[in-house]
Amino acid sequence: MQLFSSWTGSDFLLFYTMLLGLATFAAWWLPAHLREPGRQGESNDLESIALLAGGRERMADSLLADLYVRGALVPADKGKLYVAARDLPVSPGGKALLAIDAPVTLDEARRAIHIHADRVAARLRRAGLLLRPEEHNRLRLLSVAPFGALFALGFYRQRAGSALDEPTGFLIGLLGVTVALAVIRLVKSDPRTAAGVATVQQMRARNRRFARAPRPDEAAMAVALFGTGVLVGTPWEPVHAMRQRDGDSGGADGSSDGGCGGGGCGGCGG
Amino acid sequence: MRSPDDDALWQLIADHRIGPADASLTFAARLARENRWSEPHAERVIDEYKRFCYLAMTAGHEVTPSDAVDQAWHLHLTYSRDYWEVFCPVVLASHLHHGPTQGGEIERTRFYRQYADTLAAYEAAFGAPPPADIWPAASRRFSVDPKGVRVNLFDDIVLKRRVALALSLIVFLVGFIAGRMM
Repeated sequence: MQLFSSWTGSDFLLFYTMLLGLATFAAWWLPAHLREPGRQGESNDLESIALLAGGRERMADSLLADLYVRGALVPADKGKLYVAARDLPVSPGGKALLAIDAPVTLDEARRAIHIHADRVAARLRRAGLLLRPEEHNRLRLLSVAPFGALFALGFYRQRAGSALDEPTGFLIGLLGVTVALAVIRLVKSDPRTAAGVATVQQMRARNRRFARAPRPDEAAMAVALFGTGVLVGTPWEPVHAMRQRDGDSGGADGSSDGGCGGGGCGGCGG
Repeated sequence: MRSPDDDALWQLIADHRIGPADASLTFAARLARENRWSEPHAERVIDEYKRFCYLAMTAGHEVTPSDAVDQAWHLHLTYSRDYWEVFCPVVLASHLHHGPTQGGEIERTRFYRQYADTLAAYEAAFGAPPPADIWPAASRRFSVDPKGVRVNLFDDIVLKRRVALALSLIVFLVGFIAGRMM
């Protein structure tokens, strides 16, 4: 117990806090720069882009938006949607959603596309846009390694202090923060390759107008790239409202009449 | 759709000056004053209004402006000699009527779709999406911007929400501390 034995408790707390800041920076910097490069490829279909941009939840959201815009889903009670047309030509993921008998909830939609999402994810791995499981696990370990090393150091000092009957409450609190940050980093680990990240960034840059006011044929891709928040203020807002009701992402709400228009040929007076 | 590059119509619209050049209160200054904008921002809005007018003539469908562009359009309509005797017949060579919403869900959907089509037409014609501070997202365009009202600053005090909240908090804290001290 020689290490740090000459340090006072407050000296070590300050040192630990600084290291915690550095570890947090490293935990986000390392995976951003050391992820597998993957392969830059064309993967512009809705399901692939949605899964790449926001995971399986985003894929369910974009498929729901696609079906809603095309009239296959309509609003039901309590923020649910129900199937109004089952015979539309849709993707396999869309077919899984249209096969739901009861009113569609977000959880049911996510369950319904689960198997199809696995297939899309496998396709993206083969295309070099998603990390293979072993690569993702390696990246996760790399992400939390700085927190692990810091926790070991802090735990060593806590045991030493405790053996000498020193107060260690603050240090235990900081150890708790370290564990919490490690868990967040582990759960929020990005499963994409560098090429996958770049593909989404390019798609967002190319289609940034979609985030403001997508046209009907752009709405599903807008949701895939930017989330259901882009549907606020559009005629397809119930898809976003359903997601909000289930406790997910937020966004502006409320509506009122507004708008003026004009055209070269006629229009109306006012 | 026609491209504005080397387009005679676009050149005519871009070169058109609204209101008398020697007025002490210019069109841009009036637009800035009525909307509490800076004059450079009002000039940018006027430029976007001209682009909107170009789209109205060339897009091939009805177009819907953002709220800021609509304010420029409203003000231009009040310069009625310029609008109806010069701008429409000479510059646009066509009528450009203003049609406010009649209210209701159908109109709301119609204007949303027109707004989305207008943004797409803008991007196609000018090569980039319109500036977001003048052409905002639909959520702002159709839910927040229509809440704007005319206020006379002689009669009323206008505060930003965050300033009002900060002042309320300060008053509460001062009251609380004063109460504890007494």
